[in-house]
Amino acid sequence: MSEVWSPGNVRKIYTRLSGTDFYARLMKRPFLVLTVVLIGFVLVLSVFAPVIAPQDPNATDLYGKNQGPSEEHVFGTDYLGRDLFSRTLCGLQTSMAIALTTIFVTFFIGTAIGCYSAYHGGWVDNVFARIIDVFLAFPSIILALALITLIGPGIFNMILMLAVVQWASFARLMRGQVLSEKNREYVQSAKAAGLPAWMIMVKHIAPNCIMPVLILATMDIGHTILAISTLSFLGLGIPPSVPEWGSMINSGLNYMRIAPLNVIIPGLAITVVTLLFNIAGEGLRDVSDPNSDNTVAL
Amino acid sequence: MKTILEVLSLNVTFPTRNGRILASQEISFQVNEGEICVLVGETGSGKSVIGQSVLHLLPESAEVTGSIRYFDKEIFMISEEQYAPLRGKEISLIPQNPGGSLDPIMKNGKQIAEVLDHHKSKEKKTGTVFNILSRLGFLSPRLIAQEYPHELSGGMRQRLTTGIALASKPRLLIADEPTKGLDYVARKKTMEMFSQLKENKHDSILMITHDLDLAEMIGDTVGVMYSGELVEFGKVEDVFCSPKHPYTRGLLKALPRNGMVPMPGISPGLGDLPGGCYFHGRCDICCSEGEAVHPDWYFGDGRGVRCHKY
Repeated sequence: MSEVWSPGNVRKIYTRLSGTDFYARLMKRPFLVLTVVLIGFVLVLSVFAPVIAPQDPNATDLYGKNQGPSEEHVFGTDYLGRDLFSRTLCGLQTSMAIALTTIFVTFFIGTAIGCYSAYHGGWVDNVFARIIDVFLAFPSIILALALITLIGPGIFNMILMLAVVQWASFARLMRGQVLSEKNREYVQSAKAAGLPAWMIMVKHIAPNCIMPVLILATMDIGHTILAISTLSFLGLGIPPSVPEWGSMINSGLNYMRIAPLNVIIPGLAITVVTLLFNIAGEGLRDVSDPNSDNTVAL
Repeated sequence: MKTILEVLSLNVTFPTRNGRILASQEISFQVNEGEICVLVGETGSGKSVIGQSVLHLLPESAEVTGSIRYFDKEIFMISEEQYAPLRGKEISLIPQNPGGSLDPIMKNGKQIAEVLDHHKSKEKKTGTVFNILSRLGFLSPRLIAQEYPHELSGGMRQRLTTGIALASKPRLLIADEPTKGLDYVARKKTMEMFSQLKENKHDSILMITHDLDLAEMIGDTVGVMYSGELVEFGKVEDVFCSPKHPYTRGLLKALPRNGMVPMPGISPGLGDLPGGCYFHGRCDICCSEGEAVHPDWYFGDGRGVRCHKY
């Protein structure tokens, strides 16, 4: 590990990166750089949330409930007297952990199915394409709701259900990419060189198709955070002891008149994090596309 | 001399909206060990289809009959699993368009190494990659190996695809239009490269081209294709000095050095072939028989021709 991060190596990596078009296009978009830095900050925050949090997010103090901001509680307290700032920070960890796991799972399942289906073609592709269509035909949040009611709440079940409703959009995008890519000449010549199908898929087709799927994944992190909050707001998903933004808003609603920050802060947090990932996704799309040079959006 | 590849009455048909297209009909020829066999013909005369047939790379919709034998072993009417060990290892392809045939986001060296790896070359890998590159005339193989295909010129890409095809040390190499789209210098270099390969007597090459000069310069045997058929086949000296089929004669006359006399008419589309001899509308020695009866393939003494006059 230490070798990888030695100053010489880092400088070498930087020199190579800074020579690429990708880097040049990224540097033309200062707001995008800011977004990326902020996302890095959010990720660090979420990893170290329990350490950074000034107080135990679950420590109740019924004498000091529903308080406004004070020196001790930066954002005040909720209806059980728990520190709102600490809960929001730890809620970030919950959201990021679930969202990233879900996206990793859906990304791999979706791209694998989409790639295999398109490359294989014939009836296999037909069957998978119809299955994907069926999954896309359901309104995803309602499907997730129904499924969670069916198998019960819980973090693991929530990840499972979000994966079930989301893999199809990844599979469809990947399938479309591979369908157009698999007839390219380099795939034909890889076949002629005698490489087996899995190797052609993994080493040649997938790397050439993956960028749009990566962009979708980045944007979907935001959507997933939103979905997690929606499900917890409705009381499905995360157990009440775990701090989570959706359930925080839900419990704060009853005391909105006396302690409005209990609704506003988690709501803002959801908005900001979702927005960050959406902007990053769109920025990634622009940066990866050489034709976007003249249309600087961010 | 052993026969490495023997094609017998190969027929390839593609069903299309406008009826069946006979892409190649009753093709028969053979390639001997250490020889370069060149198939020449116009665009759409079914040359590439033959290469694809030998490599089992025809589209799934193709309907095929006939037989292709590789060292007396049937390799055409066999399953994909039985064929797989041959492809790339024993028989390999230099693809038609070197620009598009390289993975755009894989480093040049890795593209060769991958083939080496897969076909389990015993030699040390990096050394071999550099050896292959320098044998192909790259002056700084180390640099080239670290670059991507888009950083190379057309001629360099041509050499790189050749290197990939040669990496597994195949017994039979199929080169599909190696000089297509190259400028004069790059074409000349490619010719030189193939001449070098020819000196190395192990390799047999089936070359598909419409470059008659290339065929004459490096070929041992040559087959002339017209409308999906082989109309003439024989040793290069024989075919170029005493062509028997009127189409071959016309082709040679159309060469700049032979006066550049164009042939009358255009070749018929593969979808609506005329009755009788396919060439009879354009033939300068056309006989009444040719208008009614399709000529058979006369073969003897290493020389074949499809014409009523022989």
